[in-house]
Amino acid sequence: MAPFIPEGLVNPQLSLFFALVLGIGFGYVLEQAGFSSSRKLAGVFYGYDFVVLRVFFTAAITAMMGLLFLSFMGWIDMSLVYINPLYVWSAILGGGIMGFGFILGGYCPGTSIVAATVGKIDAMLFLLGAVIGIFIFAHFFSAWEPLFMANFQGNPFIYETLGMSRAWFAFILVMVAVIAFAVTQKIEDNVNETPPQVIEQRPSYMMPGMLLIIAIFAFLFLPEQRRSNARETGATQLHAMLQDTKRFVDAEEAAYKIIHEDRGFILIDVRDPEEFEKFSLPGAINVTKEEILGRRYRDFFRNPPHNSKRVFYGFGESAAELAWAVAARADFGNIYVLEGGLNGMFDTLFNGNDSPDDPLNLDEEFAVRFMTKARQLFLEGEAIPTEPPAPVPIRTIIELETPGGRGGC
Amino acid sequence: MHKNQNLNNISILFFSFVAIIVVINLFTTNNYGRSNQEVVKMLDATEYMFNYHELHAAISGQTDKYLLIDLRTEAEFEAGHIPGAVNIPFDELLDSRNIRTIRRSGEKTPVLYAGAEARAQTARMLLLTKGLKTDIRVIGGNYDTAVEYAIENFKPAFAAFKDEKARFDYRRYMQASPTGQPERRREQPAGIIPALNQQQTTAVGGGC
Repeated sequence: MAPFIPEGLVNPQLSLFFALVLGIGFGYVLEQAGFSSSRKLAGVFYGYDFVVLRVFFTAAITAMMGLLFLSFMGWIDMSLVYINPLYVWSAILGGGIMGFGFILGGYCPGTSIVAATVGKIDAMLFLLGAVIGIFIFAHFFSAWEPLFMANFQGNPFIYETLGMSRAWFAFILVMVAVIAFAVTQKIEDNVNETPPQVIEQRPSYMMPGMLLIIAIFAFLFLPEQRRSNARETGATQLHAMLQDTKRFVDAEEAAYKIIHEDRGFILIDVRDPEEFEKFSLPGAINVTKEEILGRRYRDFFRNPPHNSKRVFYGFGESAAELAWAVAARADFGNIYVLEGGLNGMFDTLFNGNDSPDDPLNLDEEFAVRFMTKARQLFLEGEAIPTEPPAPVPIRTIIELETPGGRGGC
Repeated sequence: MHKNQNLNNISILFFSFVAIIVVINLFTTNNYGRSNQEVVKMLDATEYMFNYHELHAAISGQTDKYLLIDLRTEAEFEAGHIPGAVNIPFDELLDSRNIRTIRRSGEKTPVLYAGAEARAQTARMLLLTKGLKTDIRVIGGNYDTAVEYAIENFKPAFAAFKDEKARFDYRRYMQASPTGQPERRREQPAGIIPALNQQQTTAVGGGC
């Protein structure tokens, strides 16, 4: 329910209900496709029925091409896609045990439940065996734990391990799939001794196959991601925004907001963390320009509260301006730049006049009075935030990621 | 013998639909030449600050490897500019003829300066987003400091003049906490839950 729960359209507590609905739907499809028969799965190993292989290859390349397409269009963030962690030994051993079980029992975990539901006794026994297996695994977990967790490789991509590009790997996989479809059909026909009339009656898969190959061929020449996506601010507009001076927050405003501990006024320090450790404005947070587009601050920048201001500052104006431009291109809202940076602000605050040039000008008089007071407060340390701002709980995708258990069929 | 043509029709329909989406999307670009992530990586990838030593050498006629670009307005440019500079006002930076000027600079490295360093820096970034060559440099400080320290009275001590430098002992002026130590460090902004990234997901992969 990826797009619905994080957007707040669906209550997260209902997710188990949706899991049930989706699960029943999935089981229904499996049953209708004939997967409740153990002969289907066993057929792959004996050569008379390759439906299972075709189904899974189709699912794999459909998902793969869909992801390639979405990532090319910039509609999906690949860094958020879950990748199964690789534990080499448990992957090899587990694969071996599962494969052996498939041949022996004729089911995979998903289809066994489907078959048990429609009343197949062998599937019920298969399930019982699975439960016993799970029990043994869990009970003696401390015994296999070293083996289970051995040789952890992180979350690698196959194409990275093989040292080829993503598109080439996809291309090769699609070619393998297409060839496998054709070859397994031939094997099936030979083993089953299908009469030639029946073969002739079949619809031709030539056209879809060719289109598939053309599509994956196109991906070889397209970049992994488009240089810009629709969500971004256009170049001309960004240029116009940079000519505008609306983004500047002056020293007086910043000083006022700092002294009054305005929660909607968030200072963002774009300098290096070392500099930030040495000195930072009261209540500031440290986000370097490399981190702005990162995942950690995604929600912070994407959903600014109304009337809030996120003010970038550095020593001078340059670093903050660059950070601002990066954020503005990514179309983040409510972003500002501290005019003159730290140097400019301190210059205004501490090197300003003590008395107004024109004693009759009230505005100037008030400005000078404020500055004098602010200077005093800052020198005395009155601007320390009395309490840290209370975090507002916002649900994020990362938070809602279900821990563990991601299954196949 | 009449074969079922539905499959062919559906597949042609589907793939042409996808192709149309791609084509429409390609034409609605934001006319950038590089992605935002690429540009961010590029910004600090090379030593791009053009110090006053180099500027001094460049205008003393010891080298002609650089194309000096003045980003101030035409009037300011007329009133005075660094010798050998060409005028491309910031507001017209992305005009095609100006882009062409920079593209055709050939072996010469464009060197930008403006009334404020931030202007020149953002100009460099805009040119990078447009996909222009990566070797674009920026004069530290602004036009006035460049004239003062690199041309009128060249001082090697000021050679590395730039915006992003501490000019105050900030802690003397602003007590961040009574002990003089900043109290709160690298805190999570409001709205982000602190334990967000530490959350452990147990590794249980399913699959059939």
